Formats: sequence, C-alpha cells, structure tokens
Amino acid sequence: MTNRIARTEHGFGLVSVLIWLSLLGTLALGVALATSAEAPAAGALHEKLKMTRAAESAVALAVAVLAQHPDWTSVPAGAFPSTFTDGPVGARLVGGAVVDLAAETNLRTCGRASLCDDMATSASSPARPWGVRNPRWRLLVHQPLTALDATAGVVCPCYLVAWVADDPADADGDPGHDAPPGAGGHGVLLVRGAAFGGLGALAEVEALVAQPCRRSALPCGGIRVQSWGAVSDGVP
Amino acid sequence: MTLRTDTLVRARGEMGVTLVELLVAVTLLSLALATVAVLATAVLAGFEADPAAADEQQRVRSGVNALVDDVQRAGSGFIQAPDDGPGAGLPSLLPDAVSGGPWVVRAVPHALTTVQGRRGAAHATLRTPATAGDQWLQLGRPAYCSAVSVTCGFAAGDDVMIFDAHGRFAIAAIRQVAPPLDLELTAPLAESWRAGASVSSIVAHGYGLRPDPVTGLGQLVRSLAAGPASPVIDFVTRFDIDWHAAVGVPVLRVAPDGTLEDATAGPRPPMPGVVSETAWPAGENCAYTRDAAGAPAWRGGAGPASLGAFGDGPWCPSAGAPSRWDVDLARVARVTITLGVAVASARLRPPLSVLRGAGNGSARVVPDLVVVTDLIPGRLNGGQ
Repeated sequence: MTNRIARTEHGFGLVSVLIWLSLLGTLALGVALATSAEAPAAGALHEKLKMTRAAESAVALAVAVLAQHPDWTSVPAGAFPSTFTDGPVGARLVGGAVVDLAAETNLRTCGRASLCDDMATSASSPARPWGVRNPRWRLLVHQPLTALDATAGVVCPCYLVAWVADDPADADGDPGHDAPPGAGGHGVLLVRGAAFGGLGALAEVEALVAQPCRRSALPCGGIRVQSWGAVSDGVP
Repeated sequence: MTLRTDTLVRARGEMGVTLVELLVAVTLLSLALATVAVLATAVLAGFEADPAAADEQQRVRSGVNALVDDVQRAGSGFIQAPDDGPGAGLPSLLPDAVSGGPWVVRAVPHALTTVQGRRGAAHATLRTPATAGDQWLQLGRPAYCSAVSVTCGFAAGDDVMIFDAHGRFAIAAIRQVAPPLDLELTAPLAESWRAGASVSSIVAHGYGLRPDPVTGLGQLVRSLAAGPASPVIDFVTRFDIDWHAAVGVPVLRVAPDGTLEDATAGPRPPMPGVVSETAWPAGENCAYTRDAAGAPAWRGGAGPASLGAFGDGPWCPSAGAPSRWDVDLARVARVTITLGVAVASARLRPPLSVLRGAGNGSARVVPDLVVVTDLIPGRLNGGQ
C-alpha cells in the first residue's frame, strides 16, 4: 500500500514542471507571434523598393534609347530600333512565372491579353482614361536585369520591360504618330517601365519625356523628363 | 518490545523529515523558484518590450512609406502644360502647409507639402478669363479630357491648381461641377486669371509635426490641401527636412536657331520685349533676368539650399502677388527626411540620462528609432 501511494505521488513533480513549461512556453510563443510579422513586413517593403528601382531602370533604358534619336515621329508606331532586347517578342520565364511580352503589351493597351482592336483600345477606364487618345504601347526594352548588370541581377533577378507611346495631350489627335513640329505635344512621349520578379511580383513606373528643343525646328539632342512616378497598384 | 518494534517500523515508513532535510529541501526549492522567477521576469519584460519595439518599427515604416510615396510622385502626372506645372515651372515640394485662399509660401521647419497630379487626373484650361472674387471657373474641354466621366474627371471635393506659365498659381477646392464644364469653387478667387490658364486636379499632401503636451512628443500629421490634418503616426520625436539644391544654377536652353527652349528649373521667361508680369522688365520674370547681351540669367540664389533661403525672395510670380513662393524653391532637387519615433509606453523609453550616455540603469528600455531617408521628387527622378 505504501509503495502504491508513493508511486502515485511521484507524478506531482512532473506535473508541476509541465505546468511551468506550459506557462513559459505560452509566454515565449506570444512574444514570438507578436514579433514574427516584423521581418516579413520589413522584407516586403524592401522588395517593393527594389522592384520599383528596377522598373525605374527600365524607364531609364528607354529614355537612353530615345535620347539618341532626333526624330520621334514614328516612334509611337513602333518603327524604332532598340539595343536593349533579348530576342523576338514572346514568352519569357521569370522566377518560375511566364511573362508573355505580347500579352503584357495588350494588357496595358486595351486591358486584355488577346490582340487589341480599336474599340477595346479606345474604351475608357480608370487605367486608360483618355479614350481614343489612350496609349498604344510599343515594346522598346525587354531583357533581364542581369544582362545589364550581373551584380544587380543577383540582388534583383528581375526582367525589365519598357514601352513607349504617344502622349495623350498630343495636339494632332493621332496616337500612332508624334505631333508635327509647331503643334502642341510635338516631341513628347509617354514611357512605361516594368520590372517582373519571381512569383508574379511586378512594379511599374511611368514617365513623360520630351525633347529639350521641341519648340524650334532644330533638335538639340538630349532628353527632358517632364514627369516621373510609380503607377499605382490596380491601375495597369 | 513489541511496541518498540512497531514504533521503529512506523518511524521508518511514516515519519516526516528532519530539520536538516527540511532546510535542504527549502533551499533547493528556493533556488529553483528564484531561477524561474528570474527567467519569468526577463520573459515578461521581453513580452512588453518586444511588441513595443515592433510597434515602433511599424509606425516609423508607415510614416516613411507615406512620405516616400508622396515625395517620389511630387511633380508627376501633369500631362498638360508640364513645363509650367509643379516640378518644372512651379515647385512640387514646399516647406509650408497649404493655405486656403491667398498663400504666401513660408519657410517653416518640420513642414513639407507635396503636389502631384494622379495618373489620368483631370486637366483643362480656362475658356474665359476669371476675375478676383469669382467663384466659378469656366473651362474648355481639351481633346485629351478624360472620357471616363462627363465632367472630364473633375469632381466635387477635388482640389485643383490654377497656374500659368509665369509662376502664378492658386489652389482651390471644387464645390460642384456644372455643364458644360464649369467649376464652382468653395471660396472666391483671390486674383484674376487670363483665359488659357491651366486648371489641373491635384493631390497636395501637407505633412507637419503636431506637439502632444501630454507625452511631450509629437504626432506626424498629414492634411489634404487646406483641409484638416489627420494623424499619420504618434510618439514622434523628430521630423526634420533638409533641403538640397541641384548643382549649379538653373539655365534656359537655347536651340541652335536661337529659340528659347525649356528652363531647367523655374518658369521660362517671356521672349525679349514681352512683358509677362508688370513687376518685371520686358523679357524677364521672377526666375530669370537678362544680362547686358540679353541672355537669360538665373535671378535666384546660387549656393546650397537651406530653409532660410526659401523665405527671402525673389518671389514668384512677384512680390505683390496674393499667392507667391520663393524662386529658390525651384532649385530643390532632393530632400533628406529624418523621422524619429519612440515607443508608446513611457516606461519603456530610455531616460534622458541614457540618451546623454550617463548609464542605462537596470530597466529594459526600447531606444528611439530614427530613420534618415534621401528622396528625389518625382519630376526629377529621371534627371533633366
């Protein structure tokens, strides 16, 4: 009988230890839960800034290409050579996700992945509010960041794309051509840059660029950035 | 004999503990409990301090995020008359809070206003002149007017900026939009405007530091144009803005055929012999004078930018204009924003002795978090 009771009472120590462990474990878990969201949140902010910088790089490349050419008349029509490309337009694999350059271009031009027609392109929406003057985006830059800068490509394994279009305020009303000299909006184009990252990450920047000497008949080279800003989420 | 045997048997099986055994047990238990208490105290302190530190970081990140977004978009979105609007002819970053009606932009410490036009924002021009005291703006519908709405994108409650090519501007709020495209403002105009002046829907965010007498700290607040300020983050210890100017003075580009092109900053002067503002000689304006040979030359300061340089003129469009700004603001190319926050619980804040390096005591404290961010306004992000 004595032995039986003794055996029963031996468990008290274990129980008390377990209670203490549970209490301490609960406290530790609470602290861990309260603070564990911090690292991912900080990481997300860092990732967002990184992607935005990459998108700005895409715009900078497009600006560099445009700055070398004095005549922008046919640029909105797409008849424009670019050195920052990685081959024919098609699908690219970026961080496990497929980026279809043609579909991405259509998405921004008319809001759908399939080929755009005039009606779809001219349809007004918050993302494309200018109706018949909505940008008809043309690819100007498409290549991985690593092809430009191997070190930067390691930090951000992004794929850079930039499009160019006529500016909506162009006085000639023809979104396929830049306005002629003397008309309002001559020598002004809209450029959009995008950085595609892994798992569908995307950042976009849009800039309005102008030729510095667009008022005179004689271009003087260079380029002037009129406006530069990130494109908000949900506004493709 | 039998009794003695029974007693011994009971003593071996049921007797309690000796004094020595009791002391040893109590000592061991005390040691164990003390260890647990020490651990528990540290854990409890961490349980209070770590979430407080996380909250501190969350608040500073929230504040920095808002500032980064607004500064990096400042000056962007003006597809109409982009050479005359914020970021080029007008400054897009201002060291003052927006004032309803006439606004003389002052150089205020701990204050920053950013001006941007959202993508697809409404833009139009005055189709008829507007005189001081008018409360209606009659607009012409531009061809690129947003087709999303019949009001061209203008809406009641929006803020608009009226500006011209010579550095004149006013910020107003729309009460209603009437056909064909007329805007009723919430307050009468302070000055007259010529037909053709630009009217753009804008987002002007003003940041400031509101002192909290209870905590002795501050609150970062943000207002939409001249509206009331809303809190962004609490327990702010610092909100400082350092202003930096572009290297060199602004210039006016001249085309090979002699045509005056864009100014790198500030409003472009009128052609020689043309008067844009009566306060300035022909061919000049608030930003550019002309040398003996007639070439445009920057009128403002040339040294490093500082807050003090933004309140002493020359004023644009002129010193007598109801709304005016120091032309040196056009040279701002970068701002450094310092944002410091403290934890919410006063008990966890380091005492002044710690801040002064005189020791930290024994209590667990969470130091203030200070973030310094260098930002380039949107208009200038891509360079000139």
